[in-house]
Amino acid sequence: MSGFLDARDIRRDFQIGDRSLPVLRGVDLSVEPGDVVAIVGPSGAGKSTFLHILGLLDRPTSGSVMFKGQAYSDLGDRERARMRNSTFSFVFQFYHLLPELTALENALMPVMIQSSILAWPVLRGEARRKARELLERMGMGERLHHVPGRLSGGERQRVAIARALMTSPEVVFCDEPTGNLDTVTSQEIQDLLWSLAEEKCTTFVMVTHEPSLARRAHRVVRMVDGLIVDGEVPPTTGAAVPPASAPSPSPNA
Amino acid sequence: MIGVWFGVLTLLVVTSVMGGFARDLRARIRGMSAHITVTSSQFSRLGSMENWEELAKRVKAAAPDEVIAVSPQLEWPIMISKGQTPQPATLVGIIPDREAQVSGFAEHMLDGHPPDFTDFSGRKIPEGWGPCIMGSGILTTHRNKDILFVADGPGTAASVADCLSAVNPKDKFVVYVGDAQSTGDLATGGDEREYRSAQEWLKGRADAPVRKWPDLLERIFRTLAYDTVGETRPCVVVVFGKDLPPESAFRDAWHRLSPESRRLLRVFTPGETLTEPGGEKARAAQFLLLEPGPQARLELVSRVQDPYIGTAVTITTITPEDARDRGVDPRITPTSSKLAIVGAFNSGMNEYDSQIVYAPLEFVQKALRECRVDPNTKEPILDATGRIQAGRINKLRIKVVHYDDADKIAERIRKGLGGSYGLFTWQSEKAILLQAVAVERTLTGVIMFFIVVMAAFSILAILSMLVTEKTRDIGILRAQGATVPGIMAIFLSEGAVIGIVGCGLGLGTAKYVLDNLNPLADWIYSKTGWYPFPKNIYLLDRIPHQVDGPIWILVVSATLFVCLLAALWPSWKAARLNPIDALRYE
Repeated sequence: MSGFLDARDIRRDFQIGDRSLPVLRGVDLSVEPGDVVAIVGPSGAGKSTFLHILGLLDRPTSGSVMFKGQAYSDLGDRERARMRNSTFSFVFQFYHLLPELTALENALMPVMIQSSILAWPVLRGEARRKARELLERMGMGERLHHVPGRLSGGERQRVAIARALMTSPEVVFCDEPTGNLDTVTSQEIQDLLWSLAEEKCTTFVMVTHEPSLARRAHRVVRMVDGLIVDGEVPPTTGAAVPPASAPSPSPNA
Repeated sequence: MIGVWFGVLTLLVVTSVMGGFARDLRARIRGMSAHITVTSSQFSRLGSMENWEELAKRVKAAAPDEVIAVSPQLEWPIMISKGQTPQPATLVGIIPDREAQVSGFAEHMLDGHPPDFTDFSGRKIPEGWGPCIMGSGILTTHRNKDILFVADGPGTAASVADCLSAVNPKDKFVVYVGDAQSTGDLATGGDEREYRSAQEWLKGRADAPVRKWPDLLERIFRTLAYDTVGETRPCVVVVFGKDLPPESAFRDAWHRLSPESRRLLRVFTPGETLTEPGGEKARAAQFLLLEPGPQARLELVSRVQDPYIGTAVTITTITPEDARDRGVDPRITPTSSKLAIVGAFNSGMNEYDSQIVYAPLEFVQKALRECRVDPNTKEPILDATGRIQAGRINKLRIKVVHYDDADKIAERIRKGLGGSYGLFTWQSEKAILLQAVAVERTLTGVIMFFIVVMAAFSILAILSMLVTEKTRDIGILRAQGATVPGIMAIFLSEGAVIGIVGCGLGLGTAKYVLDNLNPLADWIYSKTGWYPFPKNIYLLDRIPHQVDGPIWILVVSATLFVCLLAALWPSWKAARLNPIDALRYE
């Protein structure tokens, strides 16, 4: 137990009609501060669901997730929203930008959500400066005022990453961040993520199919059929934590 | 938003008009009935209250701060006739000075007649007759006339306009002023709208050029013979002008018309009747030459507009005789008297106008034997000055300062008087009518509010669709940490904006519509031929309205509340969306 981000025996069932479909069947995971963890596995293994539960977008059917010793289930809705906003952030495969807003405005969104209406005018200048800086950093300086419809996939993902970093989160969750991009762009986004992770020492938990992305992670966790089958201790962190060992039923059950 | 707009608009306009109507109706009722009426609770006798001066003092003493004036009345049902079928009416004996202080009858006198029983036409009232002032609806209701006004020369247009104000708007009339090349110079009337437009038209004719009489008249006759003046009703031709030729010249002009035209339009001077040989249905026209000026109106009124003024009517009634005075069982005796009509009033309330005949109190007391009577001759005993003695009344009418508190004041007076008196207030006299209007107003308000509710449902539908459409965006915002109240606020404010803008537009247009209510009604009439506010039904000349602040505030706040309520459910639905469900589907 690291005490930073711990998932204990996470189960998640989806109801399809009157049938209960178990997607996660007891997942344990510990993440250290500054870790870059890649979750890999075949489609339908429950990687994204697990990531959503870690990132407070979904609730587990049973099991608990702790962040800095505090269980999510103890948190109220307002507190969860605050954590989603400031502590965690998400980068999605499909970018999920607001189509009516420009790249800059999309990047500003988390700060706008964070601040009250009255405080916004005060924060606005500083937030814009920071958003501009982040976007420029990502090579988006020329396209600040374009709406997502006029941006390429890679550019959209850059905006999404800028948005994710706006509130200086402690953990960034990436759900197949390069899954929708061609090889060259994918490589650029990977490089970007990597340099950011190293520079800011931000914890990254990412779900990916991309071997090249997984290879660069400190730690790779393999999931099959709702269970972690293979955890790899990253050599760079000195955490004395054994890999989350799952009770191993047959992977093909 | 448009739904809210129209909802608020109709709600405000309708409640304001209803409010104005109720207010005007109450004012009318107050105007004619006294605030408080004292009657005797003894119904065995007609005139049950003796010595009303003493009673009036006691009333005044009971509520000295409130009672303004007191007026005695002796009221009794009668049949009235003018040589034809009698019609029922109510004879009310009054002292004009006092009655004028208590009720509004002085303001309702027609034709500038003073509110008393003097005969302004100077005719002497025969011995034994009484003067009377009649409600304009008695005997004259079916006597609509066709009046042709012909005026030429400076200042005449003003005189015609003045006379027109004395004309019952229901009378059909034609106005001709100045030079005419076509019938376009003729203003015609026959209803309220035409009546008003004729008055407008006259304003623009103040400087009409002078033409030569009576050629002009002949031309007009020719035009009118094929026009709409009268069909079977008597026609009156009123000619205005300075230095008019003698009446014979006008008659000659008439005689030059073709026999067909003459059959349609007959002219005669007062006192003379021309008969068209063989023309049974030929109409007789009255012919009146007037000098323009202030006298014109009075003359028109006395000779044309109200031909009954100055004539006599017979009233017949039965009086229960006082058993006490006679020492026998009460009996019923028919009585009849002659009254000369000296004036008329028009209160606008049909109930009064078609019912009430005012006569001097003493005359009524004498006619009904409500005074000291000689037991043998049954004739009133007169004192040395020829006055009756111990006259009785059956109603004492009171005007108070705070008429809305009439009930409380009536209670004070009841205590002060003691004994067997019945007290009624103006509200209780017309309680059913006033209640009906109040209930109608409330009901209309409730019904109209459903428009707002309908609008609210459309807000609900619009926002629900918006939530469905924006599901993904809501998910994005939630994923970035937007709170449930935060998401709700977005959709609630959408509902609030619709509500506020709708209310604003509604308020603005309602104000505009109310300010221009009557022009709009006229416009509707001119386009559709349907008059939204027939005067004869609603008793009022113009569409009234009353802008009632609290009700407007109530309407607006209730509308905003309903809009927010309608926005609440979709907002809540939006906020409750599971962020991941919202994001899942592309």
